[in-house]
Amino acid sequence: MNCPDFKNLIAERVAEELTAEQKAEMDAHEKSCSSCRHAVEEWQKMQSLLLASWPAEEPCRPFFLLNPTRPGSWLETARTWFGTASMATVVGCLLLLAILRPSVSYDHSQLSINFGPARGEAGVMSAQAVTQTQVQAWVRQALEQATAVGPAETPPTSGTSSIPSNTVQARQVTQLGVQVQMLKENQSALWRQVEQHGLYLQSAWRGPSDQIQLQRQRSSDRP
Amino acid sequence: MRTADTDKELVEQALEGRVEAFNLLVWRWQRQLYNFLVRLTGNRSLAEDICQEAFLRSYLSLKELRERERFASWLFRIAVNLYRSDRRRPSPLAAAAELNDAGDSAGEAHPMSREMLLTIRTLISRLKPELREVVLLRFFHGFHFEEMAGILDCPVGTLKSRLYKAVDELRAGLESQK
Repeated sequence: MNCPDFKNLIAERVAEELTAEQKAEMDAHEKSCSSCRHAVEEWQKMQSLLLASWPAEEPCRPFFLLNPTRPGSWLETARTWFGTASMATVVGCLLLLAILRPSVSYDHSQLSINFGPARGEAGVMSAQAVTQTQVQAWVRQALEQATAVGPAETPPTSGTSSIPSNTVQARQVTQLGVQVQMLKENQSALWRQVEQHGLYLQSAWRGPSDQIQLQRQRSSDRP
Repeated sequence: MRTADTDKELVEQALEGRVEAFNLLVWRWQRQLYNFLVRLTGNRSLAEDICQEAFLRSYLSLKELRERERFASWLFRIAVNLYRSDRRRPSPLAAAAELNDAGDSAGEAHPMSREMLLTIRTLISRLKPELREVVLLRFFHGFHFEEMAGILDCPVGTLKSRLYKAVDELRAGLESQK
């Protein structure tokens, strides 16, 4: 062992942290080198001086923890609340999306977001089909009921000739028209189809209206 | 719970919710930690604050301690980080003044002359913080270089060079006082 290597291990030598092999080498070198032996003595003297200059003192007060929360529990609680709130927010958003089912369409430089069952062309097509089928069924039903009911069941109204019983059915057809109109307002992508439905309804409306007129004429022709 | 339980056993008991186990760790290490901080900061009230905060933080983040037998190193590391981030760190001159006040009572009960005692404390307080940390941990608290590397987040080689440099500066300061 040379002097630089020896001086590099003086701190461990003084603190007795050397391996057996290192200690043996240093002891051998120290016996033959007065400079290194002096360096060890100086280091030991410095250590003694430092320890003596600043004796330990008792703290003014103890630092015990009084009724602390469980280690990490506050963090876990915060994490749990944050995680729960995040999850609730995500689930709430997903539920809103599922309920409202917005459809985004871009038509003639206008972006529109609508809420309804329609989504995409496929959704529009299916909505068209449902709407058209439903409207046809309603109108057909209304017509069948209007032709099936006789004049005796029609409630009389003041100032007008007796209206046949198909007034109720006519009212239903009117409601259908209102519903169609609502569909027309809510779904811009079905505008044309809704208009067509409206025309269809108008032609269907004429049927009962014509029959009502016919009934009125018949009743007026009676003596 | 025996008083001879190791730090590792006390940490595990504290993690099970037994506060008294952690308070036993506090009892075991509070004197060392407090004195380290007094010597490091030169200010007793600051040392108390950092000491209390270090124990509290160590308790709250006890689950993060991987090597449970090294609780002391981990505790000192928390304290050093608190000291480094504390903006109330006094200047070396202020720290020396605090030490001089403390020397009045310490010198009476000690064989070393009061003058020498104050000189050494002043020299320690005038060391750069990174050198002072190494001197205190090594000479006053007996930490090994590997432990100090964990406390100060510094390689062993750097710590050794800092220690030798600090000793050279202290020796030069003492020589200049003669």
